[in-house]
Amino acid sequence: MKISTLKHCGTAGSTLVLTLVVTAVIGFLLAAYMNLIKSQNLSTYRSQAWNSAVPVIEAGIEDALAHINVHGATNLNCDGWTYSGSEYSMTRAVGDSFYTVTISNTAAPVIVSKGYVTLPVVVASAQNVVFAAAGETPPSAKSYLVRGVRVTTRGSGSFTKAMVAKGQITLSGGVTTDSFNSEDPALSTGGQYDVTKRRDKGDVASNGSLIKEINSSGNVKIYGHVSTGPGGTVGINGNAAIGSTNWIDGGHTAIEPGWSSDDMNVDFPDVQAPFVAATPPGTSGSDYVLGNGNYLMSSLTMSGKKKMTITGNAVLYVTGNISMSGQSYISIQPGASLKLYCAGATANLSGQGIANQNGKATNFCYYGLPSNTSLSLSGNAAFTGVIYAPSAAFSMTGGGVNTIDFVGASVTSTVSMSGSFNFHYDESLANFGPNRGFVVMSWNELAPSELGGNVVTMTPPE
Amino acid sequence: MSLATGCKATFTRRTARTTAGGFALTEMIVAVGITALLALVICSLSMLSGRTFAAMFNYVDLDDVNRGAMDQLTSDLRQCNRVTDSTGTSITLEDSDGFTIGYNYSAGQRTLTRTKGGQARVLLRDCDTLAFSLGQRNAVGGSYDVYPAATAATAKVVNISWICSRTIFGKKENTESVQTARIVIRKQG
Repeated sequence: MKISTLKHCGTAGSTLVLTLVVTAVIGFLLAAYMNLIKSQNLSTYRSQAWNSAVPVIEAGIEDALAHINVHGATNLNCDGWTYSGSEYSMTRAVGDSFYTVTISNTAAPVIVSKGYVTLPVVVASAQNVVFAAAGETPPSAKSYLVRGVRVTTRGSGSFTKAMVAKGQITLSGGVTTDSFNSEDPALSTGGQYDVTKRRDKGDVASNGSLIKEINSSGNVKIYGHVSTGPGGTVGINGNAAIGSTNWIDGGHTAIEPGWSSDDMNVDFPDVQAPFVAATPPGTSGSDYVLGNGNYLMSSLTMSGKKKMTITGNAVLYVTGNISMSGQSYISIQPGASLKLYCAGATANLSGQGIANQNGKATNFCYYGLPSNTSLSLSGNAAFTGVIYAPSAAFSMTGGGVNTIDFVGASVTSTVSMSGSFNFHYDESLANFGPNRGFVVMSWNELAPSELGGNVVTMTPPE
Repeated sequence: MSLATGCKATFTRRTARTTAGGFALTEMIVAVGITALLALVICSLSMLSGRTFAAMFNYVDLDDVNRGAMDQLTSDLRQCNRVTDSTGTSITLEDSDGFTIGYNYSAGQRTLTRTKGGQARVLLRDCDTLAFSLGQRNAVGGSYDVYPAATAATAKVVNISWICSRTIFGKKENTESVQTARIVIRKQG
């Protein structure tokens, strides 16, 4: 009996030990698995929060860009934005997350957007935040992962290149494009083009993506870059040359390597009617005279020796067609300027054209509304001004024996230019004309030290 | 009664001894069998468990490293000024501070190395394949794709994909990490 009892006790002990060992091994394995899964879970949550902060930040940047594109770089204290400490600011919720964005009150606005993304409790606890200080934290406080971005911007005008079109550009004959800068004495003489100071920024660009979207032949010389939309090509024949001053003046033809690309991608905003009601222009004999102010005409037809004299800063809105022929012309007196809006389908600026006595392109602006589908310049007079008619097929013919100068820039639907023209782009026009909006010049993520750490605890904004 | 009892007792003793001896042998055989079976099961379980644990650890570790590498790449690409050079397995950026950042994949060493300011750091190990490709901002009509960029100078979008893997006893099962991303350079002007 004793022996039997002893044997029984020994068996029971072995079983217990074995059970404990097996349980310990299984427990250890389970703990290891759980720990691994917890790590993976934490990593996934943290990554999810980290990455979802970027769209929240970018929502803030888009909000700010939209605000400055609508209201300009100043006077932004509207639409719920508040002004404090030389910054405009806005806070908006995006689901459970939110962003706080500020715009500096400067000509080139700097946008700082901070995105706050709700941290899952499991991650927040792992970050050793807050919950430790439960007594000091409001019950409604939450833990947020925060990231921020600083964006610098710059306004972008419509005349950043010499000749821009939505579609095809055809240049033939003796067309030359180059550039100067009327605001820089080193790049102009008395604010006027000087061939000895010529620059190679007479860029020609098309948004189109066709074969030979830009076609140049004959003795066309483009002192500048050419670019088309994706897949578009540049056709070049004869003695045509495209490239740097050294390339073309060195007697090369064809395109200089690196001076052609197919990444043109620009939006052309439509022109809006400047006003709906105004007085017609005054007259002096059979001629028109426009001083300071707005003027409205149902159509403009000038022939023979008829003249329109601009003596002030005038805005003329022609709701119908424009036709100039014979020896008629528009004379812009020194110190005066004309903004000519055309809603008619066709505008023909022939005759003696536009006599811009200021010599500055900004003193004559032609704006074609979406209904203006054709614009032609012909004759033998120089043209100094800018043309913005994104729906119009633009043609320039003439020149003949004499070479005609076009000083300024153009944005149209298509371009057809044949004859002897020198197209001098004024680089000072880069920020002139209809604003294409502010563009991002730099995009930099803020360091954690600029954010007070990547995890903060706060009460969500109302 | 006594005899009968004694006979019975003798018989009983003999039977018990005989039975006990036979049971010990059977028990030994069964015990050895069960022990062997248990040992086999425990070994198999240990092997399976070990492999599974190793696979899971590899996955978690690879995933963690890959996330870090992707965060670094996306951050650098978003805020760079431009792409200055690119091949299928390397890319060079001009950072917003003017410095050059290089990413270079070594197929031989199976690593992706980031270099900036002369300091090199291995971002990825055990990388089987890695490819960079460049695109423009312009979207192809009717799709979510973008036009490819012919040169680095016109690149505004960078596509990246890579596969990292580790082996367990020479097998790659459950230990692959596949990453793909399309990153847009934010600078426009």
